[in-house]
Amino acid sequence: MKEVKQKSILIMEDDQSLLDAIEHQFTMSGFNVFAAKDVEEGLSKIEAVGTVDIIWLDHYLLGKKNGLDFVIRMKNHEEWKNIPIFVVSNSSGSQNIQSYMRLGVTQYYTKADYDLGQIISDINYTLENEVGEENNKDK
Amino acid sequence: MMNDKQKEKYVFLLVKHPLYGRVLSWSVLIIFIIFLIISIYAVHDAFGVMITILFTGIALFIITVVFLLLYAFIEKLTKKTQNAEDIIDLLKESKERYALAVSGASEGLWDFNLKTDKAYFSEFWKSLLGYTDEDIIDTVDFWRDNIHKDDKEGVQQSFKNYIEKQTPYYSAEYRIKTKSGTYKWFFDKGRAIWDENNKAVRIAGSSRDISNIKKVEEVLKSKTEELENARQKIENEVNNTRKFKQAVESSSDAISIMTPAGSIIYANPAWEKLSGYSYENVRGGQFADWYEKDTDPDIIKDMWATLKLGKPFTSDDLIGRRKDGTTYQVEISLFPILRNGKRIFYTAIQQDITKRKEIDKAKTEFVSLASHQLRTPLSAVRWYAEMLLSGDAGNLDDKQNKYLSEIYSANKRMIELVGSLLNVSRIDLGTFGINPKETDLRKLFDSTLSELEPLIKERGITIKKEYPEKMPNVFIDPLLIRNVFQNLIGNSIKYTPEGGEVEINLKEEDTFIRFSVSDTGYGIPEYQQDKIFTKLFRADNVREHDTSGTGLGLYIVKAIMEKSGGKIWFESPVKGRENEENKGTIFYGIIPIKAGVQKSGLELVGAQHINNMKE
Repeated sequence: MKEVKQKSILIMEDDQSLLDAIEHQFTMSGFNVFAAKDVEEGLSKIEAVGTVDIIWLDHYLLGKKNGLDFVIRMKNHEEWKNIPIFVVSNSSGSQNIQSYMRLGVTQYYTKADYDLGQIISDINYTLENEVGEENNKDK
Repeated sequence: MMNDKQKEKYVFLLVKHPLYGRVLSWSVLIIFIIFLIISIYAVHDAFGVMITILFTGIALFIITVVFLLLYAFIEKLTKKTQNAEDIIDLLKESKERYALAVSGASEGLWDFNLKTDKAYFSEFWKSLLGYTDEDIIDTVDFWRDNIHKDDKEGVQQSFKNYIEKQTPYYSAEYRIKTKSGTYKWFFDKGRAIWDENNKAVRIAGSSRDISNIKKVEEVLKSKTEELENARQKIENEVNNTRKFKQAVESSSDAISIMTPAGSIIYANPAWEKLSGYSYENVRGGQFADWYEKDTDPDIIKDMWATLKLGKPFTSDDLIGRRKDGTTYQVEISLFPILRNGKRIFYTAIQQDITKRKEIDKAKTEFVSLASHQLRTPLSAVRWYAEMLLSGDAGNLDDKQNKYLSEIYSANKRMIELVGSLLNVSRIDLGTFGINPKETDLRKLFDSTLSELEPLIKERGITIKKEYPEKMPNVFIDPLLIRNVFQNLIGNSIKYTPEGGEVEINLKEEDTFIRFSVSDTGYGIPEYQQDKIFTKLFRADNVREHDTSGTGLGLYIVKAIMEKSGGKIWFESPVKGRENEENKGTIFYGIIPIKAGVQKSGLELVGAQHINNMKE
């Protein structure tokens, strides 16, 4: 029997009530959940566990730095640059969207337009494909 | 004593001159004969010898006398002859000289007898008109008849003025016909001879061929006119140029002129103000230097590439750096000035849009933040309702399910409304821009249809599609046009009773693509059709059936279509359904194939994935 490694997710979200809902749902889906409200906290959380499988990122965060700053830090990090990032934000403005896409995030969602379940299933889909690729590589 | 010349003459007289030589020779001969006769008769006695000696003496005496006389008068004689000779020579010379002078001065001579009307014309005069000396021209009439008709009166007047002693001599300029029929210009000058009654009996003078002078005069006249016109033109040009220069100098736009290599040769005061550099520092500098540090290098590259092709370049993304280090953003229009197809320099017109950009940025930030603030609680309601409905907090009974569903759908409508309001506010604030990409409209329609699949299934609507096999891509913003399609198809589905039909049509027409979305739905009442594209408007008949619409969709659709260079309109009832209860509606739209849409700015964002992974 293959051991299914538990997937880990870092959730970067500044609104507490939303963060609670998201954390709850991901835990229910079998994820190991880490949460942070600002860029520095997020980075140190990843540091603490070494790496995470996926990141949920909101654009507006606590403090001066926003989601874009976080992505830049991640993409410049030797070990973490390939961690898929899902930007889930209620801020509009395609300037931001374009910037995120250019930086190489996996997907961008306008939060209010999606059910939480939809986003989670997309995330699972991404991870499965990645894992599949990894498995193929091993062979 | 005699000089050489006189000696010559003397010899000449004695020996060569016929008369004096003859006289001398005959006298010598006669004396000799007399001597001979006397000697024959008287030579035999002494008396005879004496007579002979006497006569010989007399003969010698006579000869001596003759010689002395000759000697005495030689000077006078030679002088007289010389005078006569000289006079003849001088006369000959002067005649020659005169003839030379006259012919050298290109003047022919004429002499009119005003009584007999007879005239004398010199050989040269005749030759001027192409006649030879053999041609008999001897009447004043000849001269009169050959004067050009336009000049006759002038000549007559000049003549009259002189005869009436108003002028000191006669002079006239006129054209006269030559033998070949062409005309020459003559300048005559003459003087008259008066009789006792002070009447002019004879007039003589010279004619000069001034045709060449006249030609030169004509040329001079026309050249002077040309010069005067040219001078006028130049003056006008200078004045115009002054006007332009003044306009450029006082313009509030920064204007500069550069060589094709980019070296600045002129910058107006507004340029100095904008860049913070004085003209001395600007002149000769490289234009790109002011922008290279702070502008996106792709834009600089694009600028040079466009200019190389001889095309005008516009951008509002150029960022310049002032002397004091501060930056400014400009809207720039760069275009080449061509002469004979060659680029001789570039002109740049710039406007400082830093403030404008700052305001735009502030507006965008506001909308973005407002969007975030409004939507966050809406997301919370949505997700918590979702979790409750999925049984996360325990099983629900029917009532609980129902109430929660109401909360969930009301919240969704709110989310939709907020989204539309944000888009409308962007349209109104003018912070709505376009990012065009090459798009296949068929794919866009299909993707929209698949997104609306659940709704289509729910209402049992049949979808009909008519796409051409081959269709060119259009250069439009796919997000925005998708929004348009979502709206139109969504409306059709919503406002068509169950089991109805929605048909989508795509067609290539010349320079644009025409699409239509038609349905067998409730239609739009005629008395309300003019309000359809206005904000928050919903027709009476649809409000009856469905209270959930925002009334903003079509306003946004129209704004998007028009910004994209297209058009949108509709017809209701649909042709053939006038007598049906559900008259149907058909929306038409045209999208230009080659769109010239603005580049920068911000976008309207639809609620969707950017890249739909599942596609």
